[in-house]
Amino acid sequence: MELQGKDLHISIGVKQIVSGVSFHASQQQLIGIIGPNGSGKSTLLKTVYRVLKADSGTILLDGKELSSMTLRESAQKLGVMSQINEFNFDFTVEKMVRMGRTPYKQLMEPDHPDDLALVDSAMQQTGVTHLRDRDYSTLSGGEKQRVLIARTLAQQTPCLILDEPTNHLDIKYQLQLMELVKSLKCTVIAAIHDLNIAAMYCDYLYALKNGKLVGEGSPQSLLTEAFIQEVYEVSARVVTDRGHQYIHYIPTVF
Amino acid sequence: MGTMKQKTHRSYFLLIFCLLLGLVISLIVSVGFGAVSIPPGEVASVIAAQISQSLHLSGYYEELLHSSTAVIILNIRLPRVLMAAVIGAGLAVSGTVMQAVVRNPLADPYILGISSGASVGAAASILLGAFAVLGNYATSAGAFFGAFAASVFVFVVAFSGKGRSSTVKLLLSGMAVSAIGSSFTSFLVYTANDADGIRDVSFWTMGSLASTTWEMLPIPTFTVVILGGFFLTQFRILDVMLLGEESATVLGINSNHFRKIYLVLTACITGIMVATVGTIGFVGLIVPHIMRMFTGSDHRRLTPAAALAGAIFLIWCDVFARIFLDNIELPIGVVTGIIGGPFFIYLMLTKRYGFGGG
Repeated sequence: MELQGKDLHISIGVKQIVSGVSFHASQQQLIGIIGPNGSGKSTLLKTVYRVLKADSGTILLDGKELSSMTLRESAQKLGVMSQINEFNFDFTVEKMVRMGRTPYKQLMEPDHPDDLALVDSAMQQTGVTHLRDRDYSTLSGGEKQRVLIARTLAQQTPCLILDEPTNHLDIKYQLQLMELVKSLKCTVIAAIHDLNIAAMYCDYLYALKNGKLVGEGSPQSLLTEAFIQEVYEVSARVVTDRGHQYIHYIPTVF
Repeated sequence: MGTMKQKTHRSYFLLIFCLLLGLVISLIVSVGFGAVSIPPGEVASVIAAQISQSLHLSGYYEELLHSSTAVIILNIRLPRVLMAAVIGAGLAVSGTVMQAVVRNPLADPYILGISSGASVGAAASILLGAFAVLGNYATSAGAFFGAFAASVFVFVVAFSGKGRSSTVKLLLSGMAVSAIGSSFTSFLVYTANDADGIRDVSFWTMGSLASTTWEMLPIPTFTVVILGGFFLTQFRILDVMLLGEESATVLGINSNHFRKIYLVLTACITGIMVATVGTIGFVGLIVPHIMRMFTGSDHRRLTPAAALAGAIFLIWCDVFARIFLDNIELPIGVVTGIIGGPFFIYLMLTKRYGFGGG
């Protein structure tokens, strides 16, 4: 599946958040969106997963305009892993993961054995099988996050959007999640805070600052010391060791 | 794992079975309570006789049906008990849906100003003679239009104006409209010079099943069965709605669209119930919470259980209303509060249940 954004302008209220951003993720590519806080990463992704509407510009899924699809159609193609959300009522972990099958279900249709098998394997992949009968609200932040990731996996979409889902995860699960996403052979667009993770897993990066595209390219070509200084306003040293790129931040006195 | 699943499956069917059995027993036993008490056996045989007569099975029960107890059972008590069951189920289902729609555990069918709108309409008709062209139906029509107008108004306020509409905005505008409506009703009552009229108005604000006749039953029954049945089919959407708008969108559900439909339909059910028996508080709020303790938030299980429990609860509240004081009927809204409140607090203190507190 191919996902493409063309000349997107997005505002919230009267404030323009994203101006003239385009991106392109081809089949099975993992694309990273980087940039400092408030650069418009999340706004851009929220528009892709249809929570926000763009003022102008188009988003294409395999060449078909996203806005011409029903939410149900796009939910069968686009899965979203985002930060955990709080809500007032409680479901068991298994029920939460089962809700990932919603886009495929008719109104009264029960969950079939195939659905349950998908739910089981999704819970296994994120290591929450032992929590299946627990109430979601009683879980820790990291456990909740993994349950929501399992829900997205159960949704079985060819395209994934990662809206900073690693926020509540400790480093082991962050790396596991990225490995997992990489192994799914999906087309992925991810907003990523951690430049080392971006360098390790992304095929291509887009850098945003103040809602504008300020750079794009492979991690090797884009993440230079000068670029990090310019976009993030921090000094850094970029080291390549056995083919891996590492970014070390250098503390400065404010 | 599999056994656990089977176990929860079995315990749910046991719950539904118990509730159904409880409903049938309640329907029969409760008919026996009142100024004249009638043993359940006699109630059952009179009802059986009536049914077999209606089906032209045999004429040999004729005598039984002409007794004075049969008249009390069939003409006075039975319609009233059935009405309690219908209204109780309707209130509980509406409450369940409202709590999902506004994603708030404090929501009940009246949260959108419906009850106070109804009271204004009823008070205007009783005390000021509004809707007089409709004759005997003036007060019911006033209550229904008041209920509907209030909820449409709340709806318009919440979905227009600056900023995004949110469930909190919906809830708050409901409360504002409720306050305006009940002040307006109080104003009408305070300035009225009509003792009978004031008593009639208090009927609408506290609810009563006392004057139920067979003729009154079809409209609310039909509404509750059709719309309640509709909500039973909506379990997937209601579940997803609880997660919030963003998660719903991601899962392919346009929650804004369904919220509007559900609000209009709950306003219909509630408006018709209020027009028939006045406003009966608390049932729509507590019954869904009590049932969530047994079924969880899964609407496929919750909604049917809440409907049955609501029916049983209101039947017994009505029994209490007619036997608690000799010769005086209590308004049923008073009873639902007196019984429901402490019971709710007891459950809150003894059961591990978050009440949506997270």
